[in-house]
Amino acid sequence: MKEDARVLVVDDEPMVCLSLSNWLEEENYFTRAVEDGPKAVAAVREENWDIVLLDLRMPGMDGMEVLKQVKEIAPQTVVIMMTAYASIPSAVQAMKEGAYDYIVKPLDVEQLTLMLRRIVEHQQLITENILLRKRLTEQYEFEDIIGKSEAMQEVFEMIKAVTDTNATVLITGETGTGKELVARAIHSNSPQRYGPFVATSCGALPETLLESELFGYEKGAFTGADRTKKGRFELANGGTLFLDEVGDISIKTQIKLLRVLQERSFRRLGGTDPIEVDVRLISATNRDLVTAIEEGTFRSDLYYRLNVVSIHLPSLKKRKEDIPLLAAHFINKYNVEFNKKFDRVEREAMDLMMDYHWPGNVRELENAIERAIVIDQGPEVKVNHLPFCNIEMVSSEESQTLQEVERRHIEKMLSRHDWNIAKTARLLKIDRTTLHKKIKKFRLERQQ
Amino acid sequence: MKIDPHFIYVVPLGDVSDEHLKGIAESIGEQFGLPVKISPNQGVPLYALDVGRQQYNSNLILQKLIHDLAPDGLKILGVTYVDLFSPIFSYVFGEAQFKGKGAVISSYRLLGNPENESAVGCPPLMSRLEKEAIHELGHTFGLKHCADPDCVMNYSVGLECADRKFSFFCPACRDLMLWNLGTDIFLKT
Repeated sequence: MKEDARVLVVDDEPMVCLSLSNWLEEENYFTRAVEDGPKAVAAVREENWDIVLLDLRMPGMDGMEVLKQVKEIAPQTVVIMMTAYASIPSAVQAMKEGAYDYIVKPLDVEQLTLMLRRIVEHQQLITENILLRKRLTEQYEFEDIIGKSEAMQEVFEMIKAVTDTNATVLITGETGTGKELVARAIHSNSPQRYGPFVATSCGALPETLLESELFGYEKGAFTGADRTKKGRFELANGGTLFLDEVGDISIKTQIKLLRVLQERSFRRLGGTDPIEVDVRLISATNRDLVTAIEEGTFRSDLYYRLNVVSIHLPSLKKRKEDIPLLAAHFINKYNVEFNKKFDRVEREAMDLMMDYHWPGNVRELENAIERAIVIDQGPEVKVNHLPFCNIEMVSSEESQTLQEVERRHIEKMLSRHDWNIAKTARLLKIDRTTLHKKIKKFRLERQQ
Repeated sequence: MKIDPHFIYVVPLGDVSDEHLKGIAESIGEQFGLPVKISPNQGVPLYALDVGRQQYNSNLILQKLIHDLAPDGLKILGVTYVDLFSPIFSYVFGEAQFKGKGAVISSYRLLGNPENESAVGCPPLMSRLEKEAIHELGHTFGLKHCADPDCVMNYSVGLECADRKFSFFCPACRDLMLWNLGTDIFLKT
């Protein structure tokens, strides 16, 4: 039971060191004894100790000084002070400095036995707790994607299902839901994981630039093309090409893209030779491509090519049960990055976070936590740290007219209740027709 | 002439009843599978008396027992009724030299109260002495405290818990004891 527990004995009396070490060995502890403070500090630096039995009064560096240094080097190590009756007040002081307890010399063997066993059992429970939490966290994590909600568990299952294949994947979901993370997760678990992962944001580039970006160009292909440049398809050869915002590309580029997908080869701009590539394509969009097809802005044949497997990422407001888990994840992440010690979210702040509609999804939540950690020392994320609370406060103050206040209030209530007209009307104590009229009057629109 | 050390010596130190000595000798003979000799009484170990504490230093008793061990002795066990302490602990039921030759036990604390009076209804002192003798001698064979609550090498806080354990080894401790016993005899012959 206790075979792994390690006890360091520190006492300037050789007889104490010998007797205690002998007894501790019989009690199945791994033990080492040192006779002064500097040696104790060195031992704690060199090795991990679960427990230190430390004499309070020693010549040179006394027990209090050793305690301080041990707690600095290894805060998790439990220190028990050994003291004579005359020094009990000092031992009590030592407990204020971080000692676990003190025992009076000569030691009561039964008291010491119970104390050590209790500490070891407690440490074992802590270790078990950490392992269980880790296991639980692993269940709720896939790569860097976090979620215990049913919707996210389904996403994890889909990711696992497609990783071993070479299938083209279309990831849909609102902005900030983590589409690129999913693409990276698929890549890093796929047979292409040793190849490159090349990401391109199609929406960010104008049509001509996007084409040269995707397919590259030959020297002299256009004014300014003073050298041959490889496109993203070539760069991703043997790996994965991630096309973000694929719903935003022009019809002309859609045709070229379709041709690459069909022929598995393409030509650089200004080039004549076909270039064959072995690329897995993952694309993503926040647009409703079916509607785009109906509107004639997206080609249905390309859609079916891209949408061999589709993974839909739910918006954060549709998986609010994941907010505490995500908040904890980002707190840990930014604690490390900014060397802070946040460990919780204030209850009121968490209530607000659960109530908020998160138009920017997980990215907005991450930014909110990052901001809190940057601007304060912790240990608690508070209401005043949350940017959306501040925006609403400032805006309310700025609303000058009654009509503006009314507009903002209706908008807020609609957003809070996910644009449920009946519910919002009931809460505003107006009928639905009136609410519809006001929505029309104020030109309110549901944000995607 | 070469003498093989294979006896366990039981040495009475002061007023120890013959019945207890005989019982201890039989039990340890049975458990360790070695012949046991009861030595002449050496009297109260006054050399180990700490006048300030009015207790007897078990370290000093152990040193003398080991020093006086006969050439044919493999282990030696002192049995006394005086209150024992080791320099670091306020009292001990007994003490052993881990993986060594000697052990000493006292009936003083086994009686159940510090006034040295038999508590009403407590198990016979004989049973506790047997267990303590086997337990301490077990340490001289390199046995540590055992997690099995029934094993004689279990160290449970309080006499009540100690009464619940048996006066023999669990299979694992027995195997280890026999292994160490073989090594012990091999090294000393």
